[in-house]
Amino acid sequence: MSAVGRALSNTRRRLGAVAWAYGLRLLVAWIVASPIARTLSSSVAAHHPRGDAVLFDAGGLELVESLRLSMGVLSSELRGALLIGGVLGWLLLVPAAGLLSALADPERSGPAEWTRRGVQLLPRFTLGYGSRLFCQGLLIALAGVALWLLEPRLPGSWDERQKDLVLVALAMPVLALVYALGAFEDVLRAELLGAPSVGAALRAALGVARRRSSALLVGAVSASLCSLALPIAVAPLVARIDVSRPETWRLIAVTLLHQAVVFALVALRASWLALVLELRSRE
Amino acid sequence: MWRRADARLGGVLAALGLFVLGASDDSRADTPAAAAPPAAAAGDLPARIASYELEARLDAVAHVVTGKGSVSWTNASREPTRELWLHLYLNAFKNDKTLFLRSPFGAGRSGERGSDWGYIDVTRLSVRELGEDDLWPRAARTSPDDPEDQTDIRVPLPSEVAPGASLTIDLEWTSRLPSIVERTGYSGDFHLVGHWFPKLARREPDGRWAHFAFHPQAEFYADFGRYRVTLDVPAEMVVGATGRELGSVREGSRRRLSFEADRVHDFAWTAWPRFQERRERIEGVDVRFMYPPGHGANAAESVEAVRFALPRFNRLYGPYPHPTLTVVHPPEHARNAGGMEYPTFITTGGPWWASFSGIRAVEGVTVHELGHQWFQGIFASNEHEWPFLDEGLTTFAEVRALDARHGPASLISFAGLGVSGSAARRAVAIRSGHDDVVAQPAPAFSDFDSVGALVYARTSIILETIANVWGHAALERAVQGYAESARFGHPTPKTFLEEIKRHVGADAHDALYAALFDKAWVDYAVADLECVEVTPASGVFGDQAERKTSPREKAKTGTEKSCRALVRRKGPLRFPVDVELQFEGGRRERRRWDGREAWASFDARGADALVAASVDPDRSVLLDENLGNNSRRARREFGHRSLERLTYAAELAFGLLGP
Repeated sequence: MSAVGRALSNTRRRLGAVAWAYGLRLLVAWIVASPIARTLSSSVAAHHPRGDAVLFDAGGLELVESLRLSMGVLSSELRGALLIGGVLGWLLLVPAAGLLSALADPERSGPAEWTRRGVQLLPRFTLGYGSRLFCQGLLIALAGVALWLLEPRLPGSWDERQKDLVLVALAMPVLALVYALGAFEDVLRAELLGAPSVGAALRAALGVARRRSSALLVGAVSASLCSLALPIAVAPLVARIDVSRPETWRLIAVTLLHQAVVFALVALRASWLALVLELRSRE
Repeated sequence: MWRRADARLGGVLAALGLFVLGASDDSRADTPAAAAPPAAAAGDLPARIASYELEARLDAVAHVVTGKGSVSWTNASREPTRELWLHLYLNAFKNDKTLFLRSPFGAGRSGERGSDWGYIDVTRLSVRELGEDDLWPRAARTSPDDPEDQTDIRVPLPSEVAPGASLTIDLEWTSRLPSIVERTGYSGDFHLVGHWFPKLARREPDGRWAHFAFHPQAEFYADFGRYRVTLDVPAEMVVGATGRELGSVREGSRRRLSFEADRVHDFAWTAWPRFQERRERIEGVDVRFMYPPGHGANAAESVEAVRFALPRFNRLYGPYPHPTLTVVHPPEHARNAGGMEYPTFITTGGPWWASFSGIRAVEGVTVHELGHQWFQGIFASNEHEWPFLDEGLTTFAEVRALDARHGPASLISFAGLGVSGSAARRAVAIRSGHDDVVAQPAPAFSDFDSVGALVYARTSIILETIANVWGHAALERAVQGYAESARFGHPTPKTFLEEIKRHVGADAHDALYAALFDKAWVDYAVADLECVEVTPASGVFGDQAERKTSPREKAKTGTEKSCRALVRRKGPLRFPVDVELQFEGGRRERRRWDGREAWASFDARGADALVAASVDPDRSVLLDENLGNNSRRARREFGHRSLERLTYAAELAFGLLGP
């Protein structure tokens, strides 16, 4: 069986852990979204005979009015959501670590064990995550400054589109590096599960990344493309179901569809992590 | 229709006045010969009051236009005059003390100040009929009552010009173009040359000169005439201009192009070596699209917009009278030259990727500027005095056109989100509704944001409300009537209001007047919703021997209910609206409310309780200040759909950015 096949098989066997990680993401998203939803629907939709279905009407008259009427409260809600989202987003490292542990663990285990492992790995994962974000931010900032300095020096004979496309093309390697840093962090996380120190894990991860770069690249890009394609593919279907109409089944159908997408995204991520573990185990 | 009558009356009065003048003033040999003022011409053709024959040479390196030419001007008023008024608009960009640039906070729609000054130097002005003397040294140096502005200049004449008399004014001048602040100027080797020659102010029939210093919030006003313009430019320049190109001759490193435009009141042109072109024949009009390299998608969007809107505007507002139309999309570095209208010449704008953004910005600006060909170009109202007649009505025409073409997602159509132009403009218009009067001169507004919110957005929303309430067909007839009356007629608000009264009715007229001139507003609200169980009557009934006392009984479950929805109208505007009552079990009932009183109670008795009420459920009254209080439910509903969608968005965001 190929590495990909074994990774997929491993993911199938750990669907419980996938569901657990998905559930926690849903919970966190719901906590972040609830106050905004309440505020948004309180001005126009709360008393409208059709409820907040009117916010989805074609033309957006009631949606724009809701935003206008609740803008003051909404902006402070959004700031609060960013703060809460940041903290809870950090805590999502626990299910991320728990899921990785579950995939790496040959024995079956349960949510308690996954949570215990997640909490145990949280400091190491935080260091890795923070370092990755810092490096990505630094790369993007440096690239931005470089492009900003370069833009006026591009040949005057080029038209606006040519200039923009050249700048985008020049930015692509940096974006690829930013993307690769994200993928590398997953390799590092896999090493962090058992390494005696972060330094040892980093050295091991670099070794795996160097030796298995092609397989890792194909796996990461495939998972990312699928993750991008899924929500896009579902969007037209959701538009056709049209929750601006009153029937409750429409809301239920869209909810199920969206949550199926998110579950699939978590499963895709789990498959990618399983592939990383598989490639690492062949070292 | 009153405007036409007024024009005829003006002609008769002027002719009588000329007869009297001619009889009594034969001795004044230096008075130009009098003739009947050309108040109206055959068919729908306007009289040529101010016709220009100009020659201009562009120095594309120094950004200087050297010009000379003559203006044939007729005193079309009923009064003689001993002065001319010239608008030297380019002097608005001469220094930071001019009326246009003096605000330290930035002014106009761009809010920018420019990096290079521009000005216009008149070097000679003489009038053939009054001798060959150069009259320019006698001209005022500055605008009236404004020693730091030189955009509105009085030129005294050595003798009186009788009503109906014509003058030939010879002019020589040099225009230094500014870096583009707004509309006109240069950016690199791109030139948009507007307001570049000394322009005669319009003289109203009563003898008033409609002259004004160039204000950052105001636009223009001028007489119709024929323009014949010869442009001498570097040979590599691609040139577009008002009117029809008569010919082009290369002379060494230069090129001379001739243009002619009749029945217009301004002339603008552009010169840039890098323009790409697309030519289309639409509704018998030769339409030329000029755009920067890489903007093919934007040009295609503009082409489709004109294909749709030109026939529509022809049908609604009368036939486009010119053989050509030039649509210019300036490069991004000259973006402030975009979004402007001149007769037969409009500018659009937007980055090269604008057509892929999901926002119909290029289409919107193209349709808007095309609409100006009627409301500004053909009708030619005084934009300085009554900006809403041009920008407001044009915005309404634009919104209606985009709605007709795209339906509800007429402004934004992106990722399943569709927003109409009405919804977006309403939000802007309501925000500023109490700030100021809509129908007032442009300089009277506090800033350009107010102009945008009130003149553009609120006028459009007022008219959409009238259309929704009293019928789109009726309003369409009124606007068509206005278009007929206003065609080449320099209309005033009265022209428009009369047509509204005639075609839509007195109530609509009153509402329109109050909304435009009195800051009138309206907010419909369901103030209360309640139901009680109906109990048998209790108390003392009858007298003396027949007196009977019925005890108060407790209502039984399932008995008849008495319900009411209390609906209020706040604010002085009155519109008839529907009120929808919704009962247990889903039954709905609509009732009409004339909206004349401040409140109304809608009562209902029956087995089903009233669970919700909504005033103006179809949202006809876009002027309604607050749509949040238009409905009331017995039980508030939590936003399940909003929560679902926002939760999904947060889940995706955590997947993308999270650990």
